[in-house]
Amino acid sequence: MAKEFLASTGECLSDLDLLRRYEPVIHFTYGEEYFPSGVDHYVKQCGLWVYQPDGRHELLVERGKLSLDELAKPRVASFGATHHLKFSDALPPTEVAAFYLQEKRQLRKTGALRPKLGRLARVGYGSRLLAALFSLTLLLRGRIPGDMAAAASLASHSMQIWDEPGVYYGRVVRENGWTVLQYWFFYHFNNWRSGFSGLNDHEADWEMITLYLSEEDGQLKPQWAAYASHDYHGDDLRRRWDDREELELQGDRPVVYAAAGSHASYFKSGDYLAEIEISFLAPLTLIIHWLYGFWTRTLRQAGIQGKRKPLNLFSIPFVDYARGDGVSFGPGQDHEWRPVLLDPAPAWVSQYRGLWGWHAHDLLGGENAPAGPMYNRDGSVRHAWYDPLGWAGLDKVPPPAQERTVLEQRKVALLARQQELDLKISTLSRDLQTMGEELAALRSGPHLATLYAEQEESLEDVAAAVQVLRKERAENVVLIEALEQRIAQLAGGERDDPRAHIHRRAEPAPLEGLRLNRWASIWAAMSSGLILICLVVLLIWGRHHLVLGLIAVAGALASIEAIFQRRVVQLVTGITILLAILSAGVLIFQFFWQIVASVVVLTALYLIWQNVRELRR
Amino acid sequence: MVEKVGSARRRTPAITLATWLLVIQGSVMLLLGGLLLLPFVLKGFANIRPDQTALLGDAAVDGGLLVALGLLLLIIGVGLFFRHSWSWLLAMTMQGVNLAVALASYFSGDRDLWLFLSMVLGLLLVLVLNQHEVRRAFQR
Repeated sequence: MAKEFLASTGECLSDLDLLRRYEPVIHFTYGEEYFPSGVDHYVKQCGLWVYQPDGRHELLVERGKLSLDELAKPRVASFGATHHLKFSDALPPTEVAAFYLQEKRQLRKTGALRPKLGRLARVGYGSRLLAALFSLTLLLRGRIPGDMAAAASLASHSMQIWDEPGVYYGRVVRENGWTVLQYWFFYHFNNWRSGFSGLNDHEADWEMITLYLSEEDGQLKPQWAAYASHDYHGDDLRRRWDDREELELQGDRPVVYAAAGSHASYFKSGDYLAEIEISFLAPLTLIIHWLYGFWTRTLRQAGIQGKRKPLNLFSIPFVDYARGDGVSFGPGQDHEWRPVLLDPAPAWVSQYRGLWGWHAHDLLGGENAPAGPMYNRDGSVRHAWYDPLGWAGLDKVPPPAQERTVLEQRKVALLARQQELDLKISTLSRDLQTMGEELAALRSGPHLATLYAEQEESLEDVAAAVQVLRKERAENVVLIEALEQRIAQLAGGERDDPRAHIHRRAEPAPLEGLRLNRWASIWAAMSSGLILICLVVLLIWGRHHLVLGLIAVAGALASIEAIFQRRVVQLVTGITILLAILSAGVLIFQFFWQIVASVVVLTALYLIWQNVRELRR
Repeated sequence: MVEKVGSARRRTPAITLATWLLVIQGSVMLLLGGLLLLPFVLKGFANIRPDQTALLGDAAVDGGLLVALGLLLLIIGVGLFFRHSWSWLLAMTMQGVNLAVALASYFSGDRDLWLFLSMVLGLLLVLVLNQHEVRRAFQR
């Protein structure tokens, strides 16, 4: 086991000590059913199966006979086969009904999470229609059936009586001057869809947070924290340790808000609107963005308040409820942690590449159980495992104590390169002058034409090479200046903006501005269905007045929405702008040639004016 | 009462232009309304022959409406000039009504020059009123 020696205190910290020192505090949402648990009891409860390419599920090891060692045993399988566990068996309908009845009673009694505002009330009609279509696809795609979710809940509850929750699997990686602490959490089930109207359900769930430490004044100090959230990766996932507005700490421990059902980790408590973008509609979104840019920048028109881009009309909305008002895990919280070190990675981590729960053969993958901490569902190694720095975009950032050294080294290298460039440029410039003179000499007779052409070509090549070198030298001058400026800035103790790396920050969705929350939610839930019914009614009975009918329906929908969202002024403005655009279309259609002729005449007059002005100078 | 003028509530050229456009729009309506009402002013209601009653009755309604709208537009123009916050929303609403009526007339087959002029004026006013700086100047 690696040990970290701290010069300042003379302390010698083992990996486990390090993990314990910074272990996080996780606040769950009230109503959450699944908590970080150990894998050993879960695996004992599971059967091991293989999903064959022909669609059959074959049982390999029965429930009760499986252990972590058994799981790690190498097993031969054909291409396209997937090993997977099965945690819960489907319940008979009577038991499912009994379960949901009891759950409903429990909800009434405890008042557990009831979303304050439905996800659909927060987005527009386009997204609502897409969300409805997405729900319909669940009928065609593979999915975790409701009885399995009920069975998982019962099984998990019975296990959690004797399986004390609060287990994390820790891992320490040292790379490029960074000491990386990874905390992996295992949950029996992800009930985001069935429990909280989210995107998916699946058996087993692996979540993770990572802390990045580096040595400063002989002491190992945390510099960054990155929380895994769905399958995102990159700069947006991490926050700087000293950015207290963005990263909440309890002493030396980062605070995590785990979303209900999905267990995605967030830095702040709140309801997060996660929009899943539909890739094949991306060109349409691009066109809308271009038109919006033309409208706001070229025509200098006011856009949607506070938005540089229009709302994404073609995305499916889901809400992650990370309210932090439920059970808490961590030192001094409702439940303490029991750490398990994954160093070296035990066989059940490194050898078992299969899924940790039921393979629902969902084409989109969301309903299939995840693989272990080391692997993706397809058996490839997880980005966060093999490249924990790159996963949070930290591979391009040196530890703070090394920043100046890195910059100094680069500056020295650049200065050396400048000397080299000076020498090369001076030599080539002399060659160029000589070649120029030779060329002048070759102009004297027609018999030298061929030689002249060849020489001219060589001269052009050398001139181009000199130009490239001169450009590099000029760019290096600017770069060296910038490096010197940054070195001085760091020497003065000035640090960068802690949020400069964040492009798209996950922020809790604001609730203000939406009134009649319950009615808004009911309306939002009903609206997409009502739109379709109205369309059908119009097509069957109102074909003669289809346009008028559509306008009336659109007007009514927009008005109801505007009232719920306190946007009556925006509605009036929007309708007026729409009418103005229509009028512009009518005018262009009616007076197209007159408009073209006017533009040409105006251009001609402008040209004449410009030329006459030139004459008068 | 004139509201306090801060840096964001300066009278920009766009606001002056919007005021002038509204005054033109209002004056045209007043003029048209006045022309429609002229026979009643000259002759008096009592002297109208029974066979002219229906036709002139419509003209009186249209004329009265145009005069009222023209006056309203002039008042909004004044409000806009002095940057009263209510005037912006009223001006925008009036343009919405104006354009809706113009478009409805167009799609019913009307191709009158006045109709297109009204559309042009409405379109210009919407584009001016919706400028960033104009909206900022009237935000409460």
